[in-house]
Amino acid sequence: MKLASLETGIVLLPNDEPLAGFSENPNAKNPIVWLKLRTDDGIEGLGVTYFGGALTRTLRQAVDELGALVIGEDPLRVEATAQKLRDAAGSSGPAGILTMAMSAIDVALWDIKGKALGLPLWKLLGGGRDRIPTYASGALRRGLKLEEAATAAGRLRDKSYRQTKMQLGLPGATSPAREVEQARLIREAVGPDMDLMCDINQRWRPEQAIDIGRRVEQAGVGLFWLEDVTAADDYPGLARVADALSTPVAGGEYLWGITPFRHMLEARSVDIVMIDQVRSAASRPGSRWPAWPRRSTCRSSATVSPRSTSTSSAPCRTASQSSTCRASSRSGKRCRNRRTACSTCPPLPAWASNSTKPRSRNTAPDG
Amino acid sequence: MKITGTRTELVELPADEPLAGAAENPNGKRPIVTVAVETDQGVEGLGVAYFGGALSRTLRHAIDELGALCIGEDPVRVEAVQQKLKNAAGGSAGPGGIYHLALSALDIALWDIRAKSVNLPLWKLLGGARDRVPTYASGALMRGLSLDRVVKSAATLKEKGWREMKTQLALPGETTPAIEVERMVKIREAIGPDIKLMCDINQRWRPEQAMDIGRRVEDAGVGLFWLEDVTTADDFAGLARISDTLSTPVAGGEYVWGIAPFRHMLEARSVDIPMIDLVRVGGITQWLKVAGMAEAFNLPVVSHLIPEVHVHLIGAVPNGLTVEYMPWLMPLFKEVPVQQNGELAMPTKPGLGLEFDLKTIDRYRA
Repeated sequence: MKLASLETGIVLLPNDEPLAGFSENPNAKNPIVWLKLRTDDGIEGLGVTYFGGALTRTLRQAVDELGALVIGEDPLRVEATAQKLRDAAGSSGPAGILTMAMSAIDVALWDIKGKALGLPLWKLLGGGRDRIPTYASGALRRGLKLEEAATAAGRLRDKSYRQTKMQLGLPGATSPAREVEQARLIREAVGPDMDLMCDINQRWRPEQAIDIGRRVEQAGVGLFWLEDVTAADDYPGLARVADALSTPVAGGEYLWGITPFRHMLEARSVDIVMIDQVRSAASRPGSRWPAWPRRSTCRSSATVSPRSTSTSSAPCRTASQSSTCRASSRSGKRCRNRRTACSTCPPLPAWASNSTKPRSRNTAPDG
Repeated sequence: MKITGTRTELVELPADEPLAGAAENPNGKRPIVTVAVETDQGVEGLGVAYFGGALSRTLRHAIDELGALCIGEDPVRVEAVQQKLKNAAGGSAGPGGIYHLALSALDIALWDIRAKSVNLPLWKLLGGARDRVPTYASGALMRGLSLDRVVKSAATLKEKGWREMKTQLALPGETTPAIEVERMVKIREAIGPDIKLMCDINQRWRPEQAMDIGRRVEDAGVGLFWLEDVTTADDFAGLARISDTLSTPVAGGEYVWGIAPFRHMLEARSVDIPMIDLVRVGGITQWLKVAGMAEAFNLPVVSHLIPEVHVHLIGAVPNGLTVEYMPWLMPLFKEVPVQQNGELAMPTKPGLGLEFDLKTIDRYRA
């Protein structure tokens, strides 16, 4: 089997919020680069990549340039293909656009491999479980007014979500008291039984994280985890926060490749390891990701793109449902009801094959 | 002052070796993206980026897209421009990768504009620590050359007045610790005891190999000025083990992106001599921050590639040790700093004091 052709495009998805109905920025667009790789015997693999922001056309260009290099290669040899791309790309990585483009290709190759072997990917990768928990993400963002966030939180409860994520590190004039109040009111709205996560997206310094995190604990909010509390590569700073709080600290989505996770784990920076599939450039089984969390005391969690990441064979704690793309929000509903893996959801919808005009605004999700 | 536009070019320069005349890969090409940043006051700044490899068109595309976002901005406010570009690029801003390379090209041009606008050569604007700095010949004694060839080239460099030069180990093909050591002994014999000799491994050894071969090179009396990138650049703990074991100074840092990894490297005591790559660190703005960080750790800094810009930076800061004279970009400029008695004199023209040679750009445009 050989790779015979590829097709790429950019779509600008509307930034709507289908889970609870309050979009933080309803007129914005989420630019997504999509990729289809086809083999000489007619198998097609899909990949997507995002986070391109103002460089989304550059990202597509990178997918095109790298994609041209994999034509003629054996799609089953994902490691050999990755090595070829790394060699060809010289020193333009490992981080950033090279990795983001390679991830789209990697996802498509794994899609092809699963199809070629007649197996859903999760089963190919180890098949740990039939169903996994999932949490509603993107519905309680920091840009919402407090009353909107509370209403949205109530809707999630009514829709029988069991886990959901909010954000702190509020925009504009804020204070520790204001931050705690937001967390407390959302907890009231979702009730005591909902697992409630809270994302800071690197907006606090370590001492703020310890101060506000402690106050949230004292207010009895009971967070399931507190995420990306400070700059992702401040490994000792994160370790101080993780040490000071009893709330589990999650992080890792901002790291590129696999080595920074070594530093994070060695420093005990986080309690829950979050892996961004686009940034880690890896859905590789066995030798890479799934092996790590098993060996450590950490649990792994996937971020942003539930359609592909939730198929992981790793002992995932939970998979995120964000409104990154319309496809994932659709699958989110089905997955919630059935509390099962997204691999059972239908194939990508029509938008994925329609190339549209380039993006105009950066609203790429930051998880 | 406002930025009014940017112009980019992609050129593929021949991979020749002008210092000693023996290229490792004479038919190779080096893809380089150039950028010129225009302002409403007529002052223009220039910058370059490289390392694009098979993604060099993507790199140029990134500079074009980021350049368009700079229009209307004040070129002197480099931090504000960096912030704007980072926000716009969102998750593709790395840190690291093509965004960083593109950002660096623009940042270099902004510093060129800033220095020109106050009519000072850049090194003087930045601090002006010294009039002349040591420099070393690089790229002439590569691992792909035969032993005879590398020994001859080393002697040629000495005859041309170089007082510092760099070679490479971790030889291609079948090699052993003994063969590696032999090569260093032969080079040292050819240049005599007074030339500073550096050796680059380019991350090709594991830590235990670095300690084994490094120790054998010491025992053979080669006397290296530094041993560089002895293992994977982000194995901060592995590097620290090697630095601890060897008495030879260990250099490294060219492979890391942005400034935060230097913190980890310095905290772990991974290297004795931090090496800063201008386009991976994020341009002149970020280069200076790493130099300050190293100074606080009582460490020198050395530069990686592009001596035409680095002469300014090494000359500006108090802890600049030596400038790597890698002549890869030489044909791109009308005039470049030239080695005299193993040193480079500080440029006297305002800004970077560089001008693109348009004939070169026309000839090698990709």
